[in-house]
Amino acid sequence: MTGSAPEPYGLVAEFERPEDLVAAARAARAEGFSEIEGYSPFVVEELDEALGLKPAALPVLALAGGLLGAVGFFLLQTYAMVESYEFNIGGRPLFSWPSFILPSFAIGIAGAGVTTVVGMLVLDGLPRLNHPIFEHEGFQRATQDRFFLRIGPGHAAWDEDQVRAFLEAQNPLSLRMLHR
Amino acid sequence: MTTPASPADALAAREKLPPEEFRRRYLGGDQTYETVTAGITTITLDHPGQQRWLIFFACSLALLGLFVVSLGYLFLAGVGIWGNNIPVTWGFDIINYVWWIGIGNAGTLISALLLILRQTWRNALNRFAETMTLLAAVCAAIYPLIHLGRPWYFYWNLPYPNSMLLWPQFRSPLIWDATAILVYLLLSLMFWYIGLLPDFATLRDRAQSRRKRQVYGILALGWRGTALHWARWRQAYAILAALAVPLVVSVHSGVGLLFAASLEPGWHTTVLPPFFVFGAVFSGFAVVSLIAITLRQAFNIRELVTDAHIDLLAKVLLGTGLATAYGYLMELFIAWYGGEPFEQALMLDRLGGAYAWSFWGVILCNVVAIQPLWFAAVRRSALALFLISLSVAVGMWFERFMIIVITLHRDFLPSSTHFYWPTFWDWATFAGSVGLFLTFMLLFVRYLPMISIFEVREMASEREAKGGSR
Repeated sequence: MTGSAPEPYGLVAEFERPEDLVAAARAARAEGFSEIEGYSPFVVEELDEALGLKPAALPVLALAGGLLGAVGFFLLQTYAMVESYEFNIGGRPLFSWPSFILPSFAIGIAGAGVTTVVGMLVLDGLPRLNHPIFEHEGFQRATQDRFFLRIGPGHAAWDEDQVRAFLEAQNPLSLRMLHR
Repeated sequence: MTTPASPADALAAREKLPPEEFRRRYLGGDQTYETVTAGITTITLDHPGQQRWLIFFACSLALLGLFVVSLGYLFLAGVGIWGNNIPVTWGFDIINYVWWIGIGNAGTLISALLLILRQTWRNALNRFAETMTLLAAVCAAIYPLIHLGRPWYFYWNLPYPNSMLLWPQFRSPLIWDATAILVYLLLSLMFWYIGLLPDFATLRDRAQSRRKRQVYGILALGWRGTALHWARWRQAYAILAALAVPLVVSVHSGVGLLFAASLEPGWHTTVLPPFFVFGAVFSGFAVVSLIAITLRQAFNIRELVTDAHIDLLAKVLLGTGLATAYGYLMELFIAWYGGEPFEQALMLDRLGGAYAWSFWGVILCNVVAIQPLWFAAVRRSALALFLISLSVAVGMWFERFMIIVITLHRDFLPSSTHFYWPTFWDWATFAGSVGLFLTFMLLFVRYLPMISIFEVREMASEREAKGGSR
């Protein structure tokens, strides 16, 4: 390994209560840090607002996937029953669109569901089994009973003392430095 | 800047309960994040009750073996080994298909509908309810495949490019149902897996052995629990829930249309699709109650599946049971009021004919048996709910028998009359499908968290409250 210093990934503070994490996140955002990430073992609704997160892609993707599936399958059935495989079944019209609705609805739901799940995984960057945050020795508790806040370099210059002083003022249970 | 309220207090406020009452009702008292996590993961990682589990697993494996043998003989000798005949072309195969898929629907409703309605009590029940849905849907989906005369051609029901230039007949409810079941299996699987993802991460981080860490780690896909993960997860989960609820209604309406779109007396009535949906929720909640009470007893998790949960399950059972009873009443009324001679003859046949035992069994097991649930003391008793749920599960099977066999055994023409009796292989296949369900349910209970850890954790607090509110 060359003599260059490892790249800083951030300072990680550990909290016992979700309220402390939310308060620290709000303070960090107010302080002007650009790369702030919170970790919790369950949904903490105020954290999104505290960090200014507004993910908007998934509902749009779901709608697009659903419409594509429903309309696509409706057109498939129309082509099949009217054009390709004409069959007189009990005198029903060839373009019996009321019959086509139910499967189109089902395929539309399937399309929306698959798009949502795949979209969520792709946007989250999962599966990703290796990640710098896992170097944190206490991070196992992030999925159990502890809440973490990481402040990273972002696009500003990394001033470890300033970040450390700020985080210590939030009274964390522990404070660790992580590198990439 | 005010300190934000804890998530548990926010949930309590949403239910309009003081925090202590909320914790008492849904957590059996004070629980911390650690006790919730430990309480559930210890079942998965430490395998308590090993002996008992092995005995039950051996029994269910035996039934699964019976299933394999039944299917093997069926493929070898053909559908003639069953009791199906002309005109009773649908017997145990479709009875059990509708029974299984009805049971499956309740798991989705508990998970998805109660999520949309923001009912916190679903959190302790939704995981095993979703698993029940998945397994019941698999058991159901097997029947339409095996009941075909040439089951190896089952894929002809699907639209795929083929050398014969054929398409499935999309105007048929049978094709609607094939599509609906496949979509239901897919959506249930995705919903179940997305709900499990954060719990896989918890198991990954708590597992002691390297192999368990690797397996759960792969299943967790590297979940880190960042705020953005959770925000997107919540959106995805809510979207899937919003998709699942209308899907349940359309799947079981489709099953109802299998009958309603025909011309048979007793089937050709518009009440059937919604009536089937109510019946499905009714039977499904009965089986969820059975599973909930069994797990509660076997693993001693009374503080996670509390008396409040039992009470709420009982209320839903009573409500859907009454809706189903309304369906029975309406069928009889419309037959009388409509004056159609064949439908009237059918209703009289149901009341006093050769298979009248199925009709009266339905009335006894589905309508009479749930009446004690009006009383709060009965609702809070896990034993009472267990027995009533068992009665409902059997009663709903009788109902499917009544609907299918009574209509089919006596048709429009005098020549279209033939009685139906199930053969040994009908029963063996049914018992075998129960074995399939139990085998995978037992495997799930052993290796996966049967209660949603992170959703119950949300209701707890970081440490024991020292007498009174925090």
